[in-house]
Amino acid sequence: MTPATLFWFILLTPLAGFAISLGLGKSRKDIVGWITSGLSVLNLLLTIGLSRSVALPTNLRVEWFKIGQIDFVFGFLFDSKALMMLLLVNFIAFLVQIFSMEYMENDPAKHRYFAFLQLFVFSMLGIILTDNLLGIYAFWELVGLSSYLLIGFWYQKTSATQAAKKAFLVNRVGDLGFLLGIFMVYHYWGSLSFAVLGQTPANLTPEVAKITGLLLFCGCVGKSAQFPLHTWLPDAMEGPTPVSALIHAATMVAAGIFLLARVQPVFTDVAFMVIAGIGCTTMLLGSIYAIFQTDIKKTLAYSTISQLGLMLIGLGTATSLFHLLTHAFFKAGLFLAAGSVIHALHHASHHHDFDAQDMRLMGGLRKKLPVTFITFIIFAASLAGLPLFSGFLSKDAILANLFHLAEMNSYFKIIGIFTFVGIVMTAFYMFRQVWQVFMGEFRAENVPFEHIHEGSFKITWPLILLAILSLGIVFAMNPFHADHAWFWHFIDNGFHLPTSSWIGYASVASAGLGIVLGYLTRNRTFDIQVPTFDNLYHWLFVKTTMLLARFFQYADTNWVDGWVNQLAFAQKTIARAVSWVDTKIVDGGVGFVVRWIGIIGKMTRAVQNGKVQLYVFAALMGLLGLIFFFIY
Amino acid sequence: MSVLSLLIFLPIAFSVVILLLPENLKGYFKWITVGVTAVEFLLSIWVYLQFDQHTEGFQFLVQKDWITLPLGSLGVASIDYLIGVDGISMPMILLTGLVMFIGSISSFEIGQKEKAYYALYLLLTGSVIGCFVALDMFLFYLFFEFMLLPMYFLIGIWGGPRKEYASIKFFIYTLVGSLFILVVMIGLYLSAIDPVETALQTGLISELEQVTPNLISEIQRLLAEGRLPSEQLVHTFDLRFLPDPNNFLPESWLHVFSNISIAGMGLRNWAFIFLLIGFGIKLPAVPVHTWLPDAHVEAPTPVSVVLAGILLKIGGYGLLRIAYPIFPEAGSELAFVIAIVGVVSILYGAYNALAMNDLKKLIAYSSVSHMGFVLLGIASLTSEGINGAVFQMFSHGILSAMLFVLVGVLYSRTHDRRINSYQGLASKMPVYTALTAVAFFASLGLPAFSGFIGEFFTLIGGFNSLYFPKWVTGLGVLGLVLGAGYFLWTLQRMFFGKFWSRYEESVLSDLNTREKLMLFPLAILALILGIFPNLVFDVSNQAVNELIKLFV
Repeated sequence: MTPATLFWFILLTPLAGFAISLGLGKSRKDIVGWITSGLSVLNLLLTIGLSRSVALPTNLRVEWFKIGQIDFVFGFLFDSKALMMLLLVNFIAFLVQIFSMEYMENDPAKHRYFAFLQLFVFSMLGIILTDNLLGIYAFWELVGLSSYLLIGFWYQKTSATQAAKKAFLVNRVGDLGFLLGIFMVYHYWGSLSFAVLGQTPANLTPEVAKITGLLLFCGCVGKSAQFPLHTWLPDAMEGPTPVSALIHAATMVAAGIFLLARVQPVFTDVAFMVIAGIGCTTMLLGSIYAIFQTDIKKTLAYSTISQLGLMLIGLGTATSLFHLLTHAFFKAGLFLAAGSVIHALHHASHHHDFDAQDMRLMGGLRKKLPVTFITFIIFAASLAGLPLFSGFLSKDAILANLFHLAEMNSYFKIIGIFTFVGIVMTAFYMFRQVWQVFMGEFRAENVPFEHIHEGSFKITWPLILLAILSLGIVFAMNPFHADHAWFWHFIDNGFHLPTSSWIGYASVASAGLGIVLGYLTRNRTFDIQVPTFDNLYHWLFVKTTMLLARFFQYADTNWVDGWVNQLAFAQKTIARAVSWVDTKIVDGGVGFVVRWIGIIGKMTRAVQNGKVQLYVFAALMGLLGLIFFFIY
Repeated sequence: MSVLSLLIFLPIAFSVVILLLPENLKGYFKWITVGVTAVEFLLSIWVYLQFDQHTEGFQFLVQKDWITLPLGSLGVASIDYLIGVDGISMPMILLTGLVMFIGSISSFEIGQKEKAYYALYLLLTGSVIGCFVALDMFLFYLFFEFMLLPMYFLIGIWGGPRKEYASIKFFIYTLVGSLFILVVMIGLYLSAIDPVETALQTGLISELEQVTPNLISEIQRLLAEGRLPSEQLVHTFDLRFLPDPNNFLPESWLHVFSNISIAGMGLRNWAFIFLLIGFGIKLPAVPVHTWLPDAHVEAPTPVSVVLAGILLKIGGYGLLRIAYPIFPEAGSELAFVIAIVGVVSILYGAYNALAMNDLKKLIAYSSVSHMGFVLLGIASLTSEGINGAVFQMFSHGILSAMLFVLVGVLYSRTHDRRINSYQGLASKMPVYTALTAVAFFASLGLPAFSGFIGEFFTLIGGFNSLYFPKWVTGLGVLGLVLGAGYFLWTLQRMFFGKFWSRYEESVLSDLNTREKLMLFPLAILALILGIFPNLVFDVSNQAVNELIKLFV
């Protein structure tokens, strides 16, 4: 196969998977999962094949359409970033689909579920492969659609459909900024291709560059759930848990970071400071909220928000992408492990009132779910940034990069200090989560503990594979030093990670502090309702929008249309006045004639039976006949 | 007979046929109509395929003298039967073919006075096509008025409970609009001449074949110097000659150098504003849109389909065919105002849609919002914006037709369009839900569907415009969130959640074959155009480029 065919194959296999899954339908839904998992493996192989047949980076452009003198192209850009993301998305998608076959085993609409997953993979691959802003925006929205469909998969649950709608709308708000950013690029750079972003057009002022950068960044704020648009992600947990693992932890939410890496040349210093500031705020906010959750998935969701903030602190450099990669494995793992717990409890309970996600009802599960327990610990350790695990390396890299920048701009030093605070909190809530779920005694009274058991290989193997990929040794021969990682050579040969000896110790110390604090509070639950932004936004945006809508409706009926009706009324009044004058004064004189006309009228009416439409019709026909007659 | 004439007169001829057929054959009327509109659709596809994208000017041109009237010192009045297509009208003709065909299938629901209904429907078809192919302003106006009457009766006889109010409102609104157009038309007629006919009349040449560009310049020079006797001037409605300022009488009111002004504004600007009002009502633009929700709510489903699918486009088309080419300088002077009207329409329509509980009214207001994008794109006077506007018109034609057919599905089952009468329809009507979701997402501008391309390019055009500031487009972009808001909210309220309805479950049956036959092709077409927008852009680009040249 030529590279061009390979590109199209890679992009379109998941789309075919979507069509096949829907086509097979309800009756053959049991084989759908195997087919789509197989397609993901095929896609993985195709990606490897492509990476062997072309040199990186490769750009392939197909003419799409032309407006004015400008050609719009559909282009593929295959570089190391794209390669990494392709492998990552396909691999995790594969594991998640295997896992889903058991998790969704009894769902009557699972063909639809796998179809939507494939639609997601298709859109995500589009984001990864496209070489221009129009393309990335298009797939960006399609990812939003698949997220909407999957969050609202159980559409009879009102909370799920509301969460889906919220996710789509909040993302759209971010996308408005993104869209305006694209317009700015088109206006000032004259093209939408990523390639031109490195250039500096003649009429580009620093002001314009700053605004463009910040507008493009809005897209990332929405999709990657950054403050102030982070509120949709916790609600998105209404979707099936494997979906949360794939989309709302490992891949889609990371698309914002990928976008950041793609458009990085546009950013000015001010833009970088804003990005780091937003990232830092989000990281702290997410960690704080994570502490106060009682729902096993909600803790992880807020943790994802916080980790995405940390990726922003990497400013879209290779360090961001490194954390994206390590995070994808351990966070997908955490969600799948949580899914394994929920699945096991759900199976054991058969009790509808039982909330299988409430950590206050869990405990002691290490005895019944050993594989889940051990892998969960590995994922949690990685997330907390303990040495020997992958998370340690990528956090180290982000901090090293940050403190290198801090040498020139002390603003980044403050961000760096807060990052350590974030690490303390992360270790704190993760330790507590492990403890609450797996240690101590089982606390749910109406679930028979002895009925809880581990799932089949479809559940455990994905966990084990992800656990292996969360070990530091996978990424660096010396798992204590991020600068030894192979990743840097792979992603960007020119990138040089600044080395620093103290950061590693400081971050280990922070994580250790978090664990100690977690151990001390292990038996306390923090189930206080922390005020969220949801209420604020509800009042600020939803209420005002609806108020405006009702106001405009009132204005439309009573003023705009009212004015029209008033005008008609005025005309009628005048007409009545004229008619009065006509009948009483003018007509009095000619009444005699009129009476005669009336008689004739009565006679003709019989002939013409009063159907107005027929008269008009006849008149029109006559006219058209005349036209026709004159011409031909 | 040329194919364009056939497109006009075939449905009109069959309209007469239906009228003459005896009443006891009424079972065949709908099949005749479906057949005729199918042929129309195929013919329009044929024209599309034959259309040469790279030729400048009009194609399939037919010109016949229709009325020539010597008026002494007022010169000679010349009205031609002049029809042809270019890249702007081509998509509209194709759209007419499609929507009229879909509308005829949708008309199967009409259960009374079939003869009159189908005769009027076919008459409407012919007049709409006539409107899009007419290149003589008089002929255009004639067809423009022709459309009014069938529409008036289609709403007024087969409509809902308030049909009399809605139809008369529609009629008077549009009639007022067309009076504005009429005034400008007369003004133009008195001001401009047909240089070719004038050359014949003055005896400079004796046959049409002798016309050369030099000769036309010669005539125009003589005209400018006032050396042509007024009784030999051939006044014209020819839209090919009206954009050339050299064809205007030097002292005439609408000449470029005319310095007559009323209320501080030149006559040409007034003329442009008049056209803007006339076509703005049709579009419809806020604040002259209030006939639309009423007309839609009362109109039967097929008439709504045709109204939203095609008739609104005549507003946008009229601006591009008449207002802008003839008064380009007024267009650029007033661009800011027009863009504001466009953006207000986008937002105002969207806010109103958000407040609606009647599904059909919601879609009517969403049409106001979507046509606002058309106005914004046109106002931008950029290639992106105007191409985007043409595309948006085409796309909206498909999508609004689909949306109104979808509303009709529900209405035909329960006669209730209130959103709060339904909940969780997805579990009872899965195919219907899926297609509604497709139509909603396509309408809210989801990429891969046509709506996205239209909105993207009208907005990017607005952003690139030299004639108004960027914040105007920035405001317009808000319409995208509001659009997503009302569509998704409706989806959630009506289709998701536990099933509940004011009506018996058995009434709410899923789509039947006839409904699928209308909806699937529309959905697929919206998808195809979203992925291959070149199908429209390749056709429109050349014509838009020529139009753009007038503004630099």
